[in-house]
Amino acid sequence: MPAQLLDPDAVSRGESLGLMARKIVEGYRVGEHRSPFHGFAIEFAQHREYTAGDDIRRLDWKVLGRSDRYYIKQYEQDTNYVAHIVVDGSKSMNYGSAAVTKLHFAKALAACLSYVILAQRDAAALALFDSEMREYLARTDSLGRIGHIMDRLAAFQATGQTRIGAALEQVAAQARSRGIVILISDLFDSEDDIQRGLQRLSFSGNEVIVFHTLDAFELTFPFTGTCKFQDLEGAAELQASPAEIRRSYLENFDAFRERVRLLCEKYNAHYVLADTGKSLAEVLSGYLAFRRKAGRK
Amino acid sequence: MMSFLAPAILAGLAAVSIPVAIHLLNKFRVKIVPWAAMRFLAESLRKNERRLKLEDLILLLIRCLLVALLVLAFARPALKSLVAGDRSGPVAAVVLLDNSASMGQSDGVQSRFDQAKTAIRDWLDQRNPDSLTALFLVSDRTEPLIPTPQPDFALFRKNLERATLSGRGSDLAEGIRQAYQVLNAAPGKNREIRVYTDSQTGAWSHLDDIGKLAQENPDILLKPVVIGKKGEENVGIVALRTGADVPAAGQPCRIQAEVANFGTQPVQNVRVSLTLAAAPVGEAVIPSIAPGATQTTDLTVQFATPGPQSVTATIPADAFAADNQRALALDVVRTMDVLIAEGGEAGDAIDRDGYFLANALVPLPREQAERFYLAVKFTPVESLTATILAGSKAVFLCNPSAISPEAATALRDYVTGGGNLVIFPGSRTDPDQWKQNTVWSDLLPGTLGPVQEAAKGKPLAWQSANLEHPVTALWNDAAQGSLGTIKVFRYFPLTPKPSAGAKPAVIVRLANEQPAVVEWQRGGGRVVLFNSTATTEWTNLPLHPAFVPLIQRLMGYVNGGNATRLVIQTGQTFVFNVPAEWAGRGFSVQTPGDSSPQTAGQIVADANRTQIRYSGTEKTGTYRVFVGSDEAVVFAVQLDPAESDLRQADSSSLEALSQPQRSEAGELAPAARAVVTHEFWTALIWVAAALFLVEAVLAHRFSLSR
Repeated sequence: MPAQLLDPDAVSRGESLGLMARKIVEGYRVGEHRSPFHGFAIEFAQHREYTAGDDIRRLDWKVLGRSDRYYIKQYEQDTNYVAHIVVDGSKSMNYGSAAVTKLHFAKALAACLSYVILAQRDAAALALFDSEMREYLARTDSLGRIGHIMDRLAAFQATGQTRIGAALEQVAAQARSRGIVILISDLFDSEDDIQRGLQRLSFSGNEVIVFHTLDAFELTFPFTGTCKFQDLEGAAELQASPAEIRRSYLENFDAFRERVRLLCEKYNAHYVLADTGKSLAEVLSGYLAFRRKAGRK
Repeated sequence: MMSFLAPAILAGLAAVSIPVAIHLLNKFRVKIVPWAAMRFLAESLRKNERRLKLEDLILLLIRCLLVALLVLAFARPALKSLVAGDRSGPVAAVVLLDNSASMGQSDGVQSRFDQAKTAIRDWLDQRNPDSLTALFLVSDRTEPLIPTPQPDFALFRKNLERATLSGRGSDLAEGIRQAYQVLNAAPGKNREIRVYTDSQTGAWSHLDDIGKLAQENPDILLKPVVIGKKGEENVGIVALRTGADVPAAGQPCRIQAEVANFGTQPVQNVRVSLTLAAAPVGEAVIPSIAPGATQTTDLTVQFATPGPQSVTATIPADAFAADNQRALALDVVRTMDVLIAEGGEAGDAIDRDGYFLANALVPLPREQAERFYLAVKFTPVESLTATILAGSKAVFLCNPSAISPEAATALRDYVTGGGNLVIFPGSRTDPDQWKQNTVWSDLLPGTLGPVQEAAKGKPLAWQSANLEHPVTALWNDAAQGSLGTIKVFRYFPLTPKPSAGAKPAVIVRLANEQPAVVEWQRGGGRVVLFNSTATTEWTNLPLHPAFVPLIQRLMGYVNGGNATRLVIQTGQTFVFNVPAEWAGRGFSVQTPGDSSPQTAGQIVADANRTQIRYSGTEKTGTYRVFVGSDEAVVFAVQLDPAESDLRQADSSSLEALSQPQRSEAGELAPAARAVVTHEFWTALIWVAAALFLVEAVLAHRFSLSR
């Protein structure tokens, strides 16, 4: 999927965002018949006879082998899990070395994921936060609501500072049943808050997926000359020659990423680096492929 | 003098500001970057701020230095020496070659004189063919071989080859003065005086005068070229003389040799040998001579026959040969006539004024007196005439009364012609009358005051210690007895004459510090004046054991004055009085190293005297003068003792002479210019390249650490 599909203007309009998400997701789903997301609380309910159109993967092969009869296994709640998509809307997400900011990328990623989830008839809820919960769209399993989700995503503007801990606690409170929480953020917050949020979600029985959204420049720090860095979330300014501190910065930054990854591991959360310099489809398909592979195990 | 061959490029030093400007521009040309990951940046900056500043500063300094070095290199720094005129063009030069005796010092292969010749030839080879050159030989006199600068280099080379070393002393001032005179009259812009010398300290004794000449002639370069290195050791015989003895046939004669060590290390066991007519007659060993010290040793020789004789003292050979030998010429007498002139009437022998004196002069029994070398005659003072005085080596005046003008004139002529006069005043002497006779009083080394008498029972004694005069110095040794027991009851207070010329010397004093005996040189002879009598009338001197040796030593001393006429220094003219009938006859001289005499000139005569005059005394050693086939006289030419001191003058003061003179306004004299002697740009380029590498390595290392 070409990266240029991520048009900042497009991301800013709900309709376009929806269209883009659909394009990306449908493109990915060509030839695929199995959702990468599966409910957790799937319990066997009964058998029923196979009718044309049923997914043959649901055939009970053991019964077929014993009795030569075609039965389909039916489960309770097999599509009724809720995926909370939590998008960081703090000012730090407004950074983008190219036209696309981290927020644009996060919105597009959230849109795609919403589409995937609703398309397989699961429920999706959307939470947008900065220092507090700014928007919360309650769960819906109707694909018809996708337009609404896209509109809200597109209209969202970043303000305030990041407070992940508080936001994740609120999400945990909203998610009354166990589900999936997908966090899309640069995680530029205190590591204690991140840990507290992940801990809360993990203890609530949710599966947590962290899309660590970072700009390519944040990962490589390629600046030259003398730069005055202005804090996006505050009034602080720092003047430096990036060439002189590049090595030290990258060491610090990589160490931070590593600490975040270890935190995720600690609380059984999936850590996915979302480099905004790469195409969204690449990030998404990479993770979904991993998910599918993990699901087969 | 350091300067730049392309000074305009130094303006490029402003480029040093480029690295600074780039540094500052980088600081001020700021890109505004909105940034999210602020805390990682702040942390990095906090950790590295001090190190980064230090590294930046180091790199900035290196880069500035690099630019500065490159600019300096392109400006071509060079060391320049100021020289007068363009030496590459034609010059008018006077070459002064020091041919004093010290130039004979050898390095084992070549003498300094030969080394100087080689250096002059080398210099001549590099001269522009249109140059003009003159050549002077300088020692203590100046001998122009080529008096004015000539374009003929072949002539110069020929004269240089002909130049020989002399035995003379050193004084370069006169030669340099003449060279300035010659060059001031010479055409041409580039003029120089080149002095090839071993630079003995004594040779530059008139350095101030030479410096003034250099100041007065700023456009003439004075260039001393020092031949040989400092620090040569030298031991030399600096004096050879008779002691206070009269050299007489059959009598032992003491010869004193002074050996000096001019080096920096003590020398041990210096063997001094004495030869008479090439045969060894004595030897002595000086155990040790400290650096800078002089030691005297006595050698005794007995002459078998009277007549002119020469002895030579020799010490072991060293690098400077000229002072390892020293010759002394002596006129060995068979007999020597002494005249005693008395003031009083002749009475009993013991009452005569000259009685004790005659016995002291010939201290032998009457039957043996014939064989003694001194023969005494008596005469009254009133009868003193030139005729009576002639032929006597010494005249003793005893208790003279008034001296007639005729006698005074005869005595003056006698003394100035080489005779010696000893005066013992007495009861008949009238000091006031002496003062009125100006010819007489001018002859005396002191004046006599009214007669004084010592307090009864308290006669005045002679001094017993600290005797400085050669006649009496013997009695400083207590083993020889004491002069302190010589008592004087009456005396004339004796006051030495203040004189700008020959200064009176005190032979001995009374215990009250008044002089008892004074003497001085007048012309060729000496005058000795006592303050008391030669009899026991006023003093116990004639009865004292020291009286005989005192008179003998006095005779030796005054005769030594005569002998000194037989010893001259190199370059001096030898003058010797001969009988009047020899006038007009030719004489020949056998010089040192010659096997036979060569015709040297004619005996000259004027109204008063007939003399042999010979000035070809360039070599040291013994010269034999023949009139016809008879040997008339032998004289010795000795080296100036100062030539033995080979220490060199301070080089910095000599270098100052060769610096071009500046006018009061500080401008160089017209002919002066700076010549590049060394350039430094290549060295600077190498340093800059090294600095560039250092900068590259440091920049790389610093960037890695960031």
